[in-house]
Amino acid sequence: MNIKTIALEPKVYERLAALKEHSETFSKLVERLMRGAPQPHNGSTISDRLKEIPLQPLSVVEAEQMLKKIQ
Amino acid sequence: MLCLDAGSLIDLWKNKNEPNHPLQGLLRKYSGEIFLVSGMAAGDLLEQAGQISEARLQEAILFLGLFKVAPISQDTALHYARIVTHLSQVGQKEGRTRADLWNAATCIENGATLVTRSSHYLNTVPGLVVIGY
Repeated sequence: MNIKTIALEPKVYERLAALKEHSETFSKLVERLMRGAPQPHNGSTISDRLKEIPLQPLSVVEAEQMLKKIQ
Repeated sequence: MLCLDAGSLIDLWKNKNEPNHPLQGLLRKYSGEIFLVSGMAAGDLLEQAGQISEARLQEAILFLGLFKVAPISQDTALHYARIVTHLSQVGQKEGRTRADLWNAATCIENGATLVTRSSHYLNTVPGLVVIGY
């Protein structure tokens, strides 16, 4: 099995170990904990954040000016 | 994982309040997928926003913060070189900008699907999966 090794501070390790169920591996534990974590760059978050950030839509003229320069 | 090129970013910014725009639809369709932007596309977007005004540049920084920006690594450079060599050998390099090819290299390195309005230029890059709109 392909594995990656990570380093944890002892305090973090103790907290993580306390959350681990008896038959659970650390990989499964981390996977379980990540299930509820927000994914900052996924489609859903981008869609939501796009409505919240102070961003005025580009005008047609601005968009055309920008596109012309990159093509 | 999906990767937007600079043109897609500009289109999405322009249509940020248009829920029926195809790019808004892609964000919903791939709601659980990470959306990536290559370092090259990020630079292009910031440069062009800065050409309009300082205020637009500041907005572009905020906008880019929504995406994961992929740095250009030595592996990206190697993918870029291989793509350019292949397209030159088969006579298909014409019509593709350097930015297109760097975006393609970033996608291949990260296993991402490229989202672009210029899909016809990039469909023949080996190993690259493209979504046009």
